[in-house]
Amino acid sequence: MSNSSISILYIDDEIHNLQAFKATFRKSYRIYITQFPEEAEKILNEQEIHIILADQRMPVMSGVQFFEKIRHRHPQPFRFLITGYTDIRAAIDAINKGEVFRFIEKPWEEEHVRNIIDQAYDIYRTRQELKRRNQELEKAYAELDNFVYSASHDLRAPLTSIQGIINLALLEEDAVSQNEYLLLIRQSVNKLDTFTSNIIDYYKNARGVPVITAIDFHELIDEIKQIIRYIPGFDKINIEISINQHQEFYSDLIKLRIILNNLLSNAIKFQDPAKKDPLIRISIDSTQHNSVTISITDNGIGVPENAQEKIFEMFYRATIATSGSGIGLYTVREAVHKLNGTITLQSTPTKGTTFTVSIPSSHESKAHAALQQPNHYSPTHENHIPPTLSTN
Amino acid sequence: MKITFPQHFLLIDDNPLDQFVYKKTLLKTGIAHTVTCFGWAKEALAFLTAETALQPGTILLVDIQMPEMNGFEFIAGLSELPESLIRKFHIFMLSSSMDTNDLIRARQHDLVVDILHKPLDINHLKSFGEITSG
Repeated sequence: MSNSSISILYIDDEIHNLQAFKATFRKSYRIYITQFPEEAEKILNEQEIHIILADQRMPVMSGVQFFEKIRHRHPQPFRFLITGYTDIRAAIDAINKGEVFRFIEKPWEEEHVRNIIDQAYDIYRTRQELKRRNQELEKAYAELDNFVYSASHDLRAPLTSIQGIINLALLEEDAVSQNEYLLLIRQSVNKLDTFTSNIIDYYKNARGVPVITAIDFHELIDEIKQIIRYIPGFDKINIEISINQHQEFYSDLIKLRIILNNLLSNAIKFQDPAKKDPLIRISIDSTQHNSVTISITDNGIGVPENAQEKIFEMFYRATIATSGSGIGLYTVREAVHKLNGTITLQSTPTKGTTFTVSIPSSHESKAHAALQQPNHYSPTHENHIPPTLSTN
Repeated sequence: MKITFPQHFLLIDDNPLDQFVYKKTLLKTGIAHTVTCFGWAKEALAFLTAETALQPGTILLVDIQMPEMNGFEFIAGLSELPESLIRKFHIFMLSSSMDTNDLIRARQHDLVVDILHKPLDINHLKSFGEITSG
């Protein structure tokens, strides 16, 4: 294996050894050579070095002493000691003080050196990978804690409301008023129902395998209208739709449904009761560059300026919402990111809100995304980005 | 100061349904003279800051999980108020999730009498004080 991304630092007081080493391996690895320990340290501070080779017998300090000196500040690189003769003392020190990975005996054989470099680099990479995954796991745990905390509240709150209503209903002597309490119970049940559906959506989005199909936006919008018509306030609002689609567009239908469903539900829920003509304008434009731009504009209550950055965060609620779960827009943003798209928000309180979503067609963007992000499909990588608003 | 019932209540809870139900329950069971409800902790804080004629012994029921300003943030804001005012009321926190950390945090707080499960158990609340006639 030759791998020019492996960086090796070789320190030896004999310039000929350095030159011979460099001549042999320079095509396979990135080689840094020096005769002086101070310069070697400077290189370690400035470059990412994977493997250090040091000659044991040097005038200023021995190879083992050098390793002992740099080991704490630079624990990552693997250390090889080159020695010309078998000295048991040096060997013991090398292992105990220098924590050396391998000995290389002089004169070294090219094939042998190659093998142990590749071996060391494999371990180096595995350790780095492990470290990265550990960090991701920690992040995931933190988010899970947050999730459990908030979800346990949001799941139990409607239940405790119902219990409270029942307790109150039992205090009531006449049976007529019971109906009033049943209506209240229904409100709470609906809230719990919305929350559980949102959680299921979130997991479908986070864990589900994307299924890419050709999207017909006319069909999609018709389907979503069937779902949102049951939201209180739907009958009061006027919805204008303009769809401009002349070419095939490929994407994950489930994610698009989640995005549109949430944005439109919000537009209905947060309509401004003070306005005579509540309105939602949906514009879908898929005429350019294999992408779609969806904008949803309403003349609702708007989002307060200090809340605009936070509304995409998990469990953030900007208002005292009777039906908000605080998870809808978080799921929307996750879905948009998974489709390699962007979402932006423009809002003026009392005037209204526009969400603009741009998504590339998935047949083209798939290869592109894989190139840019090698770990794009790893299950732990993407689902736990700390929630911040992306406006790029 | 001892807790006595019936009493004046302030209820701070973002859920309008719980406000309605608890207000009605407190009045119906006769442990409340009056119940004043707030949906936003900030409004309640502003009310208390401006209030000078607050009845001594007033009981505050504060929900923990609220948007914008949660129950703990509300109590932190409250502790800035003059001692003479703070001493006028008893604070109970309300929680539907009963998270262990919330529980510990609430019980350690000087200003908080205790943390109560939702739904509100009137008999449990009664056990913290005594019923006076008239």
